[in-house]
Amino acid sequence: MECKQVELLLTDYAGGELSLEMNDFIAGHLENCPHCREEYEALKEVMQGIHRLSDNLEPPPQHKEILRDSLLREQRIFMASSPFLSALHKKNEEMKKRFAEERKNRTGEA
Amino acid sequence: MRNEEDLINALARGEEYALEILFERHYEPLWKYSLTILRNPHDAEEVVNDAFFRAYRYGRTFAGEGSFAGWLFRIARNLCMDCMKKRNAKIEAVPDIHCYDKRTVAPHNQDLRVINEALDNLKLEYSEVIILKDISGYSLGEISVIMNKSLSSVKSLHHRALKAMGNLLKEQRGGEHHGM
Repeated sequence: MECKQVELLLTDYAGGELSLEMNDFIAGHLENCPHCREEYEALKEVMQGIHRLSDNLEPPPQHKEILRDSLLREQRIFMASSPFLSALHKKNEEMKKRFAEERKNRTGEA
Repeated sequence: MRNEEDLINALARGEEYALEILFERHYEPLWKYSLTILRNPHDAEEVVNDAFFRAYRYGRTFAGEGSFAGWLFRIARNLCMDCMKKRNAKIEAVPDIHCYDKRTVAPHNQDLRVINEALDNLKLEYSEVIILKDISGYSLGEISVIMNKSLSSVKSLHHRALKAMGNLLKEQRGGEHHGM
């Protein structure tokens, strides 16, 4: 395998996404090829830097909860305003309850 | 893990669990994507809010046509572009304003600031694929759906993006060294 082909696999190698056989092949190639080794070190540095940046990107704690609640509220309003969907949803809930009771009875009998 | 097609169909039927699962799966990746593109937490919050609401309403009507992540990120991308256009419009009026607000999301250490700047100086397609893969944590397969490209194109794009970023970091370090 030529260096150009090895280079294309370095990202997967850095991410541990290669098969064992390919992983060993690339590791062996890097030991003997200063050019590819330099490319790999540069790539690793970039990926580590980006991961450090990612770890610093935390959303504000309340934002997630507020957004989730708003979406669920919209969902419920939508369901309430659509008679067909409301009826379908109600039927789904009744069926789920019935299946849960039947399962309970079966395990009780067993 | 429930597949997205089942979840979208459940979402269209109004099942709350589907909304909760999709939200939980994509909230943080979307937040990180928006914040890294826009560099302003307030703007990122607005984009995340809008994107989820629009993707949710779109998903209800178009179950079976595409992936939730695909809609969500395409919507978010357009919202981010709109936000940046508005900021640029302010630049034309007041030329000394920077095109994004570095003050609000300026990493607290030099190393991260350097990474931030390198990302900022990449062409958009490169920074997007890096943000989606290495910051938001999506697989290349998921990214190929989000960016509407083949898997091999995304793989090659990611590789070129990382290389371009490496070159930029080398240049920046060379510049800092000469500045000393």
